[in-house]
Amino acid sequence: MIFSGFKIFFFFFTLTLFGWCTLTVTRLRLTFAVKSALAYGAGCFLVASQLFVYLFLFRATFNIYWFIFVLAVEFSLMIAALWRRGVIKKINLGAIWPAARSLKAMELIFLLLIVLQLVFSLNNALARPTMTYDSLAAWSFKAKALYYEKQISFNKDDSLYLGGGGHPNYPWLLPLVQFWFAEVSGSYDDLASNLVPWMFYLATLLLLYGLIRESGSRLMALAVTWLLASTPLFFYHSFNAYADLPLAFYILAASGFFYRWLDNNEQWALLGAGVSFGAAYLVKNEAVIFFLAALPLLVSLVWRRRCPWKQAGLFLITFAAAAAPWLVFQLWHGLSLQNTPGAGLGFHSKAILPLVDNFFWIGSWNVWWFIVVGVLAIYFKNIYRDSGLSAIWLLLVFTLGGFVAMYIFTEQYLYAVDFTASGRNTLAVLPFSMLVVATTFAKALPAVNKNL
Amino acid sequence: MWLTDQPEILSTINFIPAQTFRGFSLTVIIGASTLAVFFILRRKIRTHVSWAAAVIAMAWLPLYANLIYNASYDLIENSDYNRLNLEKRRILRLCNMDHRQGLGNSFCQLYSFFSYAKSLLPQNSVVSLAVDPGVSPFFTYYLYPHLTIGNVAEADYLLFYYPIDYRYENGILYKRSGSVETREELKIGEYVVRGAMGRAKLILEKIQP
Repeated sequence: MIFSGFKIFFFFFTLTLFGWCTLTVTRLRLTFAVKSALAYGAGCFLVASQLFVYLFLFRATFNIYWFIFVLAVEFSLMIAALWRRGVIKKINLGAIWPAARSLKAMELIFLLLIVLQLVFSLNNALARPTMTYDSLAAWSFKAKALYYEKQISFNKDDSLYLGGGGHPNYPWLLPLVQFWFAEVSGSYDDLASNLVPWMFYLATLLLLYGLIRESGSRLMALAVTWLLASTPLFFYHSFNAYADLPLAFYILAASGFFYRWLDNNEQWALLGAGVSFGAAYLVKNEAVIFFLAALPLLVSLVWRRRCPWKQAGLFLITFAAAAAPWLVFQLWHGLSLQNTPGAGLGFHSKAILPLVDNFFWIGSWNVWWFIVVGVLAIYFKNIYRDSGLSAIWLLLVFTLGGFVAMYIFTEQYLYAVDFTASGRNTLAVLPFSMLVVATTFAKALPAVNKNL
Repeated sequence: MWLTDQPEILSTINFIPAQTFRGFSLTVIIGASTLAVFFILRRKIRTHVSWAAAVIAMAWLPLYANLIYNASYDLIENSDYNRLNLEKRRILRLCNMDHRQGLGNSFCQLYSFFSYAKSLLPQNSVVSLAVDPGVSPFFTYYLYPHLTIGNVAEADYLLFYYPIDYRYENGILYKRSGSVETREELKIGEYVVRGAMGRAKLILEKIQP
């Protein structure tokens, strides 16, 4: 039991440390909370994309010693670079304690409520083995099959063709991280695999807190983070090995960077957004809709000469570079973005009512989407007057509009009518929408930093 | 009304059903009320974030109470899980979902059928499935790596588990296809029963021509 706990800790610690060192080497200006959250996502992305290239593009048989050697070399080079820059000597974890001691009563209450959600969720993740449909059909099965086979089958007649299970067109970030976990711990365990998405739950909460904290008060950041932690469907996904919550994490990261670029015109943030959108594409194909939603904004800013075209080009290049392994493989093997055959463009009015129900009738989101509508209506003038705020709201509207259009005008409408996918797509937008609302409060009411 | 037991069922992963009051969604009732309060207090909310925070908290808490109620219930239920080994936990979670969704035990009995098939058939055998599409991922996931799922032509064995479109009679396996009106039966092949757990759960072995 103690040994298993140590292996789990070792796995997540090294993965996060790998991401942390990478973020530090790139010299991004990030707060401690944002950097800690992004470190886990960056670690997962870096390990998964290298495994993907190794197994799928080079078609190599997996050898854990060789892969550990590659990671160890990368890790050593980063540590050496950080040592030379004196970064390691400057790390002061002791600074966290005074910050924790200065918590006020309301802040402490929200923090405890968030911890309570984490405890409930972790308990479920460790007690209840994988049992949900797509996890067995695709995500976890791919990880399990790869663990036993050690290679990918490219024989079309083989039941394990391209990893086996359903949906060979699904990207591989989650299965590859689950697979890496199994390799490091020495056995495949569908209970332990639940911990990978649970860590994304923790990282998404921390990332949302950190992003809100950049413009708002600590109390507001904790309160909104608690709203996210206690949104019913988001909470349920935290202990079931599905890819929608990891997708939500990368989309939140991309949107956070994108907003920072819009608001402060920091070029590195736009590149961070490009990489995060690209990483999201290695999690789920739906990421392409989020990326496409950002393009009209970018084009309009280039058109109005508020963004040099070179900067916009770099955004596209960073997205393409991060998405490249999966994008190349997808094109090479003719894998489709969608699960239904053919585009089947048309008007599917049957999807409209289920989509309205998805946002406003069912119990997945508490009353979140009513709050979004209320905040948009009340602060409309403030949003309109602030270019950064209006742009981030437009990004939210374009993203939601992209999904609504997909369900109303393509054969995908079936998945809205039977409620099998529209809710999970909404889940990926949810943390981003919370960032938008919190940023609106912080911007529209500058006194928020003092009063709340 | 406020505290409704919402146990997990198979569709929970896609959406959480609404709590209702006389058939009407509480999400709509509370959400629409929140919008009305937002409108009434719009001047205060526009200038004082504490008002906005108070309205949002009041709107969030009723349904949040239900989430906590259900999470606490699950926490207590997890003590049952924690006493069991991994295999028994799988059975318990499947059976809980089956009973709470009223699936008539077909999901609950899955895992014992897997264990039976694994004990009966030689390791690394290729088996094909005559099962409801809703349960086929369970077969693929839990039988692997002991057994591999293949197509009917290549597999020596066939697992027959409450199938909708298959019928086994007098040593011959048939598959129904087409719409209800034009439904015809195709002969799949000749099989002998290698093992059985009741009439609808069979392990068949192909008779080699």
